[in-house]
Formats: sequence, C-alpha cells, structure tokens
Amino acid sequence: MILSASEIVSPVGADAKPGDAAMLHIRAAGKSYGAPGGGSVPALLPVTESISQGEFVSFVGPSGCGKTTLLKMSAGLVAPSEGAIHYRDTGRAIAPGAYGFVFQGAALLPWRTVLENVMLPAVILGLPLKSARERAMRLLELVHLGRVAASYPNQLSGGMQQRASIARALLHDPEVLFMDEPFGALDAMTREQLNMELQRISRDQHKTVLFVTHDIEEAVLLSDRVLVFSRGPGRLVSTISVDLPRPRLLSNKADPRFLRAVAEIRTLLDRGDARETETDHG
Amino acid sequence: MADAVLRAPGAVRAAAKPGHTRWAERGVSLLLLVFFLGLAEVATRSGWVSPLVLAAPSQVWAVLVDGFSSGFYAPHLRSTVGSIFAGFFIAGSLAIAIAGTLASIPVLERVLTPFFVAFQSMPKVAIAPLVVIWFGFGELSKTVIVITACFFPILMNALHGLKLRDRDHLELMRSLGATRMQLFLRLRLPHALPYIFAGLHIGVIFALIGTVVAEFVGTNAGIGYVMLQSKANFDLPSVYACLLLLMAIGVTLHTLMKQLEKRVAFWAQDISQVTA
Repeated sequence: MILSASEIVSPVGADAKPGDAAMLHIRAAGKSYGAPGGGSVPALLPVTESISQGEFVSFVGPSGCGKTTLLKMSAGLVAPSEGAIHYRDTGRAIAPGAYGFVFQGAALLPWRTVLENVMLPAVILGLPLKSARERAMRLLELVHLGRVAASYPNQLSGGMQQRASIARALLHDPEVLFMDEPFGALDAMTREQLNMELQRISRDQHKTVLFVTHDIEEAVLLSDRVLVFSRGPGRLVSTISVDLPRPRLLSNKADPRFLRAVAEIRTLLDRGDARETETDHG
Repeated sequence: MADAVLRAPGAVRAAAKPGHTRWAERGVSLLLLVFFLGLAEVATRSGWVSPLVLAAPSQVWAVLVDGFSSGFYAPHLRSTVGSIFAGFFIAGSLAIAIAGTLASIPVLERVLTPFFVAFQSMPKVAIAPLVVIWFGFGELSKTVIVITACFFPILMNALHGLKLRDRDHLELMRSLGATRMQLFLRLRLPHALPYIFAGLHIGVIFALIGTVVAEFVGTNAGIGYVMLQSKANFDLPSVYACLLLLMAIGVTLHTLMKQLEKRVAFWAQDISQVTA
C-alpha cells in the first residue's frame, strides 16, 4: 500500500473517540407489514438502542429476524412503522449522502468502470470531480484495486467487486457505514481477508459501522458490540459486548474471550430457535 | 460517460474455438452454397424443374448485373432503403420517447398497457390496406406502414428495460439522495439501453418487412414493387433477383445493428428480447 488511510480521512471525527456521543438513537423503532385480509404482521418488534460514534456494531441472527430491516431503517431507506431512529441530535433520520451503504451483491453499475463506479457518489452529490477522481484512485489503492480501475465490474471476481463497493461507500467520506451482509456471498478465505481489511479501514478512517451478518465469528471478530436477533417475530434478544483488544487478528479466533462471546451468542440464538419451535407447535 | 461506453472490453469476447476450426467450418458452408447453386443451375437447364418454379442462378445473376449497370435498381433501392430508415427512425424516436414518459408515470402505463398488448398481438401488416385508403398510394402510406410495423417491438422492449429489477441499485441511488432526473439518467436509461437495442434490432427487421408489404399493396416504387411487376410478367429470374436484394438489405441492417449494439450496450451479452 502506497498511502496510509489516515492521509485520506478528513478532519471530521478524527479526534473524536469512540463512545463520545451517540450517533444514532434507535427509539422503540419497529416495523410491521400489512397482511392480506387486514391486520399487520410484525417484521421487527420495537428496538431501543444507541450507537456511539466510532463504534463497530454487528446485527446477528437468522434470516427473517429483522436485522436488515433495522439496518435499512437506521439508514432512512425504510420508514419505521412505529418509533423513530434519529441521527445525533438532529431529531430526524440520517440524511441521504451522509452515509455509505454496502450491499450484499456489491451493486456496481455494469456500464461504469471500477473507477467510475467508485466516483458515483461524487457524481450524484455534485462534488468536484477532479478531487473525487484522485480520492477514488487512493481508495482503490487502499482496497488493492488500483490496477483494475479501468476494468468493468464483470471482469472482476466477487471479492474484488465487493472491495470496489466498499471504496465507493467511502468516497464521500461519510461518518457512518451501513453494511448489509457484505461478505455473505464470498468464500471463507476471501471473507476473512476482507474482514481484516474492513477492520483496518474502519479504524484508520474513524468510521462508525453498522454491520449485518449471519456469521457469528465474523461479527465477534469485527465488533465492539453484537446485537443478537431472533425471529418469529423478529426481535432484539440481547446485546453482547466484545472485550478484545484491537487491532484483532484472525488468530484471535482462538482467544478464550473470543470463544466465550461466540458461545454466548450461539446459546442466545439456540434459545430463540427453541422458543420459536415451541410457539410453532404449541 | 460517452467515452466509457466506447471502450468495450474486447478480451471478454475472445473466440472460444481455435482459428483453423472456424475456417474449416466456413469452407464447408461455402461448399454447401456452391453445391446448391450448382444443383439449381443443372435442375433448371436440364428441365427437371419448371422455369416457373425456379430460375437458374446464372440468369438471376445476369438480371442483377443488368439491373445495376442500367441504373434500373437504383431508384427502387433508394425508395426501399429510404422508407425503412425514415419509418424506423420516426418509430424508434417516438417509441423511446413514449416509453420514457410512461416509465415515469406508472398510472398511465397501467391504463395503456391493455391497448399495447392488443395492438402488439395484431399482425401490423394487416392494417396496410387501411393505411393506403387513408393516405393514398405513395411514400407517405409506405412510411406510415413501416412505422406501425416497427413501433411496438421497440416500445415494448424499452418499457421492459426501463423497469428496474435490481432493488440494490435503486437503494444505492436513494442512499445518495439522487434526484428523479439523476435516477433516470444515471440508472434507468443506461440500464434500459441493452433492452432498447434489442428492440431496435427487431424493429429494423420489422421495418424491412413493413416496407415490402407496403410496396406490395400501395406504391409504384421499391424492390417489393419491382418484384410484384416481375411476378405479373412471369419473369422468375427478376423475382429471385429482388428476393436476393431484400436478403442483402436484411443482412446489412442486421449486421449494422449488431455492431452498434456491441458498442453502445457492451456490458450486456444476451438480453432476452420481447418480440412483438
């Protein structure tokens, strides 16, 4: 790597330490969908939480537990049916363009080169294109894609595409990154490699990260806190703090504290499943 | 955007087969052609086949050479190709503009869709006689018939392409606070391009069909008209010569569209086409 990430970051949040101030206030935010024939089906029972600046928080749970719904509500992409999610003390949802969103399927536009894809936020937000181009190139170096900047997405592997989409999410230097199972479609090796890269980038650039995954180890390795969800109906079961020093390495997966956190989350998920089975049959 | 569109990744489309195999296959195709031409020549000359069924390739060739050297074909070719292009461009611009409008007003699209489906299902050439009654003999009728023939496949494909199926792309744009205009220019339109081209591709071939039908029913110029006259005179070699000319026009149009498609919508390899 030619440049360190800290050279890229803007002063925003540079000297703020994690835990300084709540960045997102989740206040009894829940979601339900209208059922055919009247009534409504809850997708997520009301959740109250607060996410601090610089925190890395994972949402873990089985599919249908509402973790992605909570992520999208936090980003203002989905409106909560009850409660609210406010950004800092603005009293409203985070504004579009103030955050980066990473999708499971990379969501690169096939008609734009990798560099043009990374520059998309600048085009949409109307930022100066010349400096955006320079920043995009540095971000591509940061995710080791400098050499394929002129390629098209269909010429890249899944892991490379996801790296490019992370670079895109960082282009406009947002304070918060929302990531919806970003590594879910990748093989285990690529996934671990990208886990390490994400940790480095989020620390170097002082990002607050909300990270949805169904991989418990991934969540524990990366997070300061893990919110554990269960389904039937979707709800927040518990919050687990991960007390491991940073930077964490893949070898930390053998650390007793790591294993304890993983076991604790597994137990919570098992209990959720058991309860679901009970209600299903009883 | 424009220059990005022209840098097509050539490596992706590298030939799967080694060169010599492809040349061998072409050689066999050529041999087949020569064989059938020879067979037709012998069959007609020896009287196995009536001259009212088949014309000898040598006679057809003579008619073609004579038609071009005497300048007989020139105005008819101009008329046929001219009305294909005129009708195709008018229908194409109209269809794309209407598709863009409908895509941004979903209610209107839902209201009009039953009509589109009805018109799409009707064989457009069947209204050619009606058009001749409305607009009389001549170029105007011809152009109108061509427009009706190629309008719907272009419209339906464009509408299909303007519908976004990728929710992530839409949410990506929303997460950046894209305006409606940005959404259209940066996402919907480029997304629709391969579909629009698929429609144009079908449309240009339909324009050729429409032109020939128009020339059959209501004009006094064009290759279709020459063909009809030749038929009336039992001039089989000339009829076959006209067929060859139409085939050549069709192949040329197809190749042109293919090249254009490859350049403009290079990222999409195979888009399923909505045929009309």
